[in-house]
Amino acid sequence: MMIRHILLALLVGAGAAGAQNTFTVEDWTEEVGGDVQVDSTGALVLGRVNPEDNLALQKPAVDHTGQTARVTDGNFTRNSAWNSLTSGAFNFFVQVDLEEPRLVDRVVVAPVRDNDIDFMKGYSIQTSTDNIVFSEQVLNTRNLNNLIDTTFAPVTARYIRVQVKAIDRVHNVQMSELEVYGGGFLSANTVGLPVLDIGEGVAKNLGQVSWTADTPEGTSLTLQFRSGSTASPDGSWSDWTEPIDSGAGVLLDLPEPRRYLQYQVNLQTSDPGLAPRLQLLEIDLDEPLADGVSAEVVRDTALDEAADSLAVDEAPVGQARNFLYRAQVNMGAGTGFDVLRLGMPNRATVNFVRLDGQNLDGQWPTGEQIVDIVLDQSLNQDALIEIGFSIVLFDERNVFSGQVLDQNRPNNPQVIAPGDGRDESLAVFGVGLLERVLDKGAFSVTPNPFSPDGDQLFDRVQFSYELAKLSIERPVSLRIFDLTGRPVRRIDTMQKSGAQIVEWDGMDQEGEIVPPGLYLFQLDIDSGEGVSVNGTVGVSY
Amino acid sequence: MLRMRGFELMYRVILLATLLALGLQSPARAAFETLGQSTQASAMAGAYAVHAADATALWYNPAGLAQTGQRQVLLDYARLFPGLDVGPDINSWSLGYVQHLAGGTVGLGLAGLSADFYSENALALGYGLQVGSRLQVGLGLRFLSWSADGYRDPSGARDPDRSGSGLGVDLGLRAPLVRWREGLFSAAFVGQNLNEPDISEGGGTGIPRHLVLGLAYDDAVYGLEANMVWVDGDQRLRVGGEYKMGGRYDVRLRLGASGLAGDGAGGQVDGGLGLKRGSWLLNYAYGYAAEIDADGSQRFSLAYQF
Repeated sequence: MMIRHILLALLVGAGAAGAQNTFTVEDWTEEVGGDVQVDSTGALVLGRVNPEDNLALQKPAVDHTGQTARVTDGNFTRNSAWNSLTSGAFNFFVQVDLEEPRLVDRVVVAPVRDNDIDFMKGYSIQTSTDNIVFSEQVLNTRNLNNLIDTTFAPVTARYIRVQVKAIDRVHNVQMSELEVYGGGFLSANTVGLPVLDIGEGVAKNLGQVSWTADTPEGTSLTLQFRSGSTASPDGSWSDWTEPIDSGAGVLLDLPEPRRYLQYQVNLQTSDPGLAPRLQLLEIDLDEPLADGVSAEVVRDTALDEAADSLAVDEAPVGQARNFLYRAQVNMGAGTGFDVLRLGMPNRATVNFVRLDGQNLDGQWPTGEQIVDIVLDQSLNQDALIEIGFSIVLFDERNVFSGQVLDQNRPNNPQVIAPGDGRDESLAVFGVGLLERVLDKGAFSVTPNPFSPDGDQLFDRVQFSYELAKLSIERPVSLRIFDLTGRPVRRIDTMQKSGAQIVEWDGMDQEGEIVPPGLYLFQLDIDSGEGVSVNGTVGVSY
Repeated sequence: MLRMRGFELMYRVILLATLLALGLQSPARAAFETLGQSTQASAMAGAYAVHAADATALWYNPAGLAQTGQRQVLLDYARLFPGLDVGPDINSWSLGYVQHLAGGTVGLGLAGLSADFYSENALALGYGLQVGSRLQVGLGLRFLSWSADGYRDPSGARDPDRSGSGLGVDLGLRAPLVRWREGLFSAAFVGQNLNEPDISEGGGTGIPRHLVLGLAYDDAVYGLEANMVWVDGDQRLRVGGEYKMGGRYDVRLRLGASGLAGDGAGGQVDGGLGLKRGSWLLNYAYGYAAEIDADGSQRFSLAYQF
């Protein structure tokens, strides 16, 4: 299976900043095999149904009584046939469920082997997409052939029914097989494409991926990627990314720098007459910022020694603790970086930053969930960076992500790898999970009252609280009422464990400022436990 | 038995009206909406434009003052939404006095609402007059004021204390319509805050005009009332009923529901009890707002007639 790829090296910058290449795939001309095909323009398209394939084979079939009819098992003997058990079988029918919409244009009704008399003397072929409304495609009330092979104009159908429309009052009706044929596109397929040597011999920093695709209504197309350092995927390769459904430019979240990349394309359609087409794929590549940056997170036992006796990768849930983020930089042939960006599981306050054991001066972020440590100058050598911070954790497993980036080309940061190649190096485990999703005692409303008069002083009110036990985002709604209980405003959002805020700007649902007065609020968290908190908030201006 | 059937009828009427009200739109307004609300009226969900015939008429329909034959002092207290998780308690009170004069009836009222950093107050003056044998006309003036403490954050930044005031003008009409069986149908029209007084400190935010059309039926046993309220072009429906049990304490049971609106909005259900002994009247009301996960509001009033 060969694919023709075109590598375009587009020089974006020059000098120390490094060159950016765009790895482009715009033609999948050669046969890719399987159920995926390439059209005349070279685009990757969902495969077509083979007109020789019996679409009904092994699909569920029933007769007019709802009983299973063994007419799709590929067996033409009497023992696996459907039998009307009466000569008065007028309007009896057998139907098959293809289990998904298909483009159908041919139906074959096979008799029982060596039985030339118990066949349908008249029949109707009907199709349906919903098993409620059937459309007749063929009607023959004078059939003389024991093998019925009939074609009709292609129609999208899921249910195919063959109904008895003539009887001779002497013979039963028997059917050994009901076969359905057609064309159109397959409903879904995933195609894994060969490993790409994107670095042409050297590891690269992976940037944004974008693509151009034609996705008619009812069709979809997603891509997944994984990276590695060996020519064949093995245990050292990353997992596949989650399916990416936007081709408008998404930064690949994969271990880097890496020399090899592989992608797979997931194509789907709910209409067998339409298919998604992948026309162009582009992957931005950069020179590595460093040969490798790996890190670990541990409790700062020097500061927290007396606080508890937990392990260095454990922390009590709901209580502030100090941590160290240690990033080991192996610069090698990297071009250097000047920002280290940490993704915290909750808002954190950075207390200090050390470079090779020396404290750096600077104003470090306070109360941020995305923490940018900006160095005075670009780092171009091996180093140990230690970041001390305090944070309150709320989940059973709290992951700290990290990137390094060069402010001269900020669009392509390099992912920091977990130390020792263990994902758990960048995780801290919460001990003693909180019993409640929300602690009402820690709920605050500030400023209260607030004055939405546009003077930039206390113009908005913040409802602040801490959520626990919500490992995934859940719906949260804030509702404001006047004192007669009438709703004034509703704000919906999604939140998970951690310190959270919802803001109200003093506007009602129509976008008009509310009159001065006292209002009621109610915050509801759809956690499955019916959590809510309510209170008063004042508006004055 | 007859009374019981009537009570069931009243209950069904209220239920039906509540369902109808769910389809109506409701605007969102806040300030001074609850100021002066009385216990008797609240127990009937505020459907009281026709029935207001004592000191409560200062807040519901000044035309009702014309029906007052005695002097009355009315003290009302409410605890709104007790048990909220965050924020101060909300207390509301009012004091009213009415006296019949040669030409009509004059009423004077004070009302307040307070919640730690925020308060509202009103001084109301009303006059009700009988015009001819059937029509009662009333005029009300309400001086409305509010104040809020400025917020001060830990860094020392502070919003100034704020306050605002305005004068609202009310006009009320009330008239008996027709007798039916043993009872009487009456109607009322009230325009509250007709001048849409501006109450914001910086100006530009007025209290919207309320137009209320009320229809009531009263006999010896039941009092039923429905009010349609128009505010900013939207409508609200309030329905309430009173069952006059009588007896030594002239016991009265009240029920009501206010209709709230459409998409996502809920309503309020109210109930209450009234007792009368000699010149003293004691009332209690409980109101539950369906949308808010808080305890219902509780109200008490004590009146003396002489």
